[in-house]
Amino acid sequence: MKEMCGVIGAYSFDEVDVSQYLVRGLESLQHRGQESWGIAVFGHDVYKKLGLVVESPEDANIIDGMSGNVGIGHVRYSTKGRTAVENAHPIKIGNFFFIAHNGTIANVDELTSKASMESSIPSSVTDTELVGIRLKQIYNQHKDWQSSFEILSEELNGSYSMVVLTEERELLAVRDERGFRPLCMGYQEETKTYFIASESCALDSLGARLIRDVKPGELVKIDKSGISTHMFCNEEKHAYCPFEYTYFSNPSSYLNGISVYLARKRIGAELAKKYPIEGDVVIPVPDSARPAAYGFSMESKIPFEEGLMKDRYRKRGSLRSFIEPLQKRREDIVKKVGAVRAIVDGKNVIVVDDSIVRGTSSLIIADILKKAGARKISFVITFPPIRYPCYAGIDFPTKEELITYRFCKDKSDLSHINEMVAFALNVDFVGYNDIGGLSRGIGLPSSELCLSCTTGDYSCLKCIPKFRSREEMKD
Amino acid sequence: MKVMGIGNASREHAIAEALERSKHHPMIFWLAEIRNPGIFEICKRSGGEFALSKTTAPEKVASHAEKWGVDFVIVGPEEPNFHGVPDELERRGIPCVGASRDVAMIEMSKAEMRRLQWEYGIKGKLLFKTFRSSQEAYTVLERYSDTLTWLQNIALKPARQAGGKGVKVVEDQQLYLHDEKQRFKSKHADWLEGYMKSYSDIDDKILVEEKVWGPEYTLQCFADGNCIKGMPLVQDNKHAHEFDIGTETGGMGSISGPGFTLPFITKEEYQESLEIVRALVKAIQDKTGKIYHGVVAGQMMLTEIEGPTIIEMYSRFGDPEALNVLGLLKTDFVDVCLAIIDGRLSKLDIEFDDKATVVKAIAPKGYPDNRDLAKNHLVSVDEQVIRQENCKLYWGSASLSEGGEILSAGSRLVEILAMSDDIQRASRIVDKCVPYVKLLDGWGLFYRSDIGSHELLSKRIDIADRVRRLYQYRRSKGILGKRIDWLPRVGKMDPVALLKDELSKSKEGG
Repeated sequence: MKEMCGVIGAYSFDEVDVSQYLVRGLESLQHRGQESWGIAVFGHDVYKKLGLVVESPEDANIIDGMSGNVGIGHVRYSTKGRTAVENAHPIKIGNFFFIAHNGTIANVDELTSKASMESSIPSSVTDTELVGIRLKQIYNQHKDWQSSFEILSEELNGSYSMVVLTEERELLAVRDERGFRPLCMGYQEETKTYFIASESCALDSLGARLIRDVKPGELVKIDKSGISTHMFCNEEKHAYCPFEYTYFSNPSSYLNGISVYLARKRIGAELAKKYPIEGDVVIPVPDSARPAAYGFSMESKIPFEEGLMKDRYRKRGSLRSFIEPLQKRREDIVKKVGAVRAIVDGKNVIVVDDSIVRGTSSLIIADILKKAGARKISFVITFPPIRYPCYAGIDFPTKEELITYRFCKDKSDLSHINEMVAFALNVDFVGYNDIGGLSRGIGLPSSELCLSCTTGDYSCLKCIPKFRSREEMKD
Repeated sequence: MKVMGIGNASREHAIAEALERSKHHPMIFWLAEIRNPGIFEICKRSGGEFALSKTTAPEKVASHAEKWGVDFVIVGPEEPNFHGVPDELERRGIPCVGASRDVAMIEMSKAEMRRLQWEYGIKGKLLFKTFRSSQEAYTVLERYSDTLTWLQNIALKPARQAGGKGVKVVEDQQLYLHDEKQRFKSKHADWLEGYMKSYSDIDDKILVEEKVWGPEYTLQCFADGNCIKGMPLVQDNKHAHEFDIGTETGGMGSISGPGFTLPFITKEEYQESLEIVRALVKAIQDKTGKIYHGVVAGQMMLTEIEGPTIIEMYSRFGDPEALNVLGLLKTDFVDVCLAIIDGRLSKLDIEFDDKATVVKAIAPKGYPDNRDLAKNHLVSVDEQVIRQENCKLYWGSASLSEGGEILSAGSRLVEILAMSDDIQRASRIVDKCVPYVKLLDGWGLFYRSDIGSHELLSKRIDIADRVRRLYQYRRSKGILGKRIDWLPRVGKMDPVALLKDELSKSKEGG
């Protein structure tokens, strides 16, 4: 039930058919989910497919036929081993009510018992479906979206950036009061279309202009009377996910008005200040760490080079390893990375990567570099040590699988972790970022960030989740 | 003295108020299609009369003027000009401040205006092409989409002034959206053809112009046939919502000053714009042999290709732009009108307060896309608070019932004007007044708090700087106004090629 996804919504005041725009927008959110995709347009049934947003002629025909000026879409990556099209979003509730969700609801059991007091809930219900059912139950009583979300947000514990298409031809966008996952809105002048999207890069690809982020605790409603926004919850303490900045989001996007690219670059510079290590070249692990490697190189004056190449032209070459649900396939994707011998051979190499989770990818990369003749290998990591699971929408495994836990258990001393992970990866040096460096690099105070995966402090969630095994969490 | 005005909106309320301020203390008479509460009140106060009547029927308007025995008439909106109301008044010997039918052509037909501009070689031109059907438009757009690159990024407009509606800029730049964009262009062309069916007074239906970008501004002028005098520049904000988001409206608010220019337009650009408007009025007088007396305005844009460029012309004040300039006007407005009528404008010194002004419109939710939702809500305004803040409130799309209640009529409900030393201060003063306008049934109102804000102004200044650097570079290289289009294997194309048959259309017509 944990997933990391991308959502999009569109409402055209020019009565333009939005289906094509939804699909093109999803293509630019593909980095957020490569497992399944789907769109729902007002007046039509939902259309969902497994795999990448590529259309077969059959898809194209159906999408062309989905005429309507309001719609939503979703790309998904889940942690479920088995991937089923019925788990793809948008989720249909009733006849013409659709919901697409990015995030994780942590208190499913509690919510199920609340919802089942009013109607019977199927046992196979997913968290998003449950949110949808509960939302409709509340709305049927109150007939007003703002008060419905005021009530629902009290009941929900977890992260949600959602788009909803209602029976009354309304497009709703909501972001939880802590703001874990990103959500923004944009406007495309020529077709008079408002867009809601997980990231601003989707707006760019559609020729739409970023208006601003949807605020944490905000409901944006677009209907025939225009666009209006309401705060359903005023929570002062936010918990923006820093992993969005270091890895997940597209570098061309802006989150909270901060350029993801520049944040990565600044984090790289922070790392160079923290670890003034010696080296001949700075090389990024493609692709997400590239801006950080630039930043590291500029600050340290050590030349930047491309020492690792990702084979983009091979089948699956453009996939992201992190969001690949199966570990074996994940390694497969990393193996599509090759070293540039001319750059690496005989050199003291500083490798910049965004994070180390299990350590499997880093092991492979270290191995590739050694075989290409690297004399010395230092890893610098833009994200602080990941020591605990995420309950707010990122698929980290249970702590037993994390390399930091396996080698350091609950010890939080950074230099100890650096040493132990370097030992585990069999490299000369590992230097993790710390919270200060991360927050300075991003440009947000650490109190505005969710840091539970590195501190184990889950107080930004309303209740402390039970640590369950990975298998339990998935089903 | 008796003066009569025509029209229903905030602009006309501002005209009525400027007349009322005059030392001549005229009795003010008015013809309108809805009972504007503000104008109604002024008529009553001045000892004049207010009557409901069709304002585009020359006979009806003229007989009212005769019945009331007015000394002159001033026309607010454009449609009475297009229908020849000033012509009929003058035929009956009643002086009129308002462009006569033939010269108002520069506003009524955006196509004729462009032809005139190219024919007389007036600066600030745009490439254009006219069509009589959407089919014709679509065929040409399809045929030339690869050979005349300017046709890829275009503005599709109704060829006639149609209440400011129906303008659509389409950029075809992403290959993966090309089919969508072509479909969209033809869809809008169809829409335009349907929309233009209600206008039988013009042959051209659809106008396509090259897409330009840059800051827009309005230059309003008084014209008496010999002399054209410019007023302070005003910048209108068309988009419904903050930071230029949402459907384009009639105008959600406007800024001016201090002085004659705007923070993002130079004195030289003001002068050049004024020369362009002068040249165009001279050209239409020359072409028709008729005198232009009334108000004329250039809806201008600073563009990289031409510098100050005409987007459209107005044969009247802009709304809300009228509020800014009439609020600043120090010279007696009746004297100005009399000078226009007598052709003495060059001898009259027209003075404006050296202040900054901000106007903001307030509209019920639903405007502009679903006006029915914005209609028939009871309105309440605390005019006392607004007076205390030294602001002026002008009624727009509102109607006073027999019982004295005010109902919203679907468009911009009221416009509020503030004057101060700088634009940002004036903007904040208007914002203070906004909560005192309410709908009694709880239906929402909206306005733009960003108009006149530091953020929006810096954005405009920024864009203007970029455009200015580009057009001044072009000027220094002697290529200002020149378009160069080149295609692989074909070589240099002449983007003006399509214009040749456009200009011959004008000669047939003329």
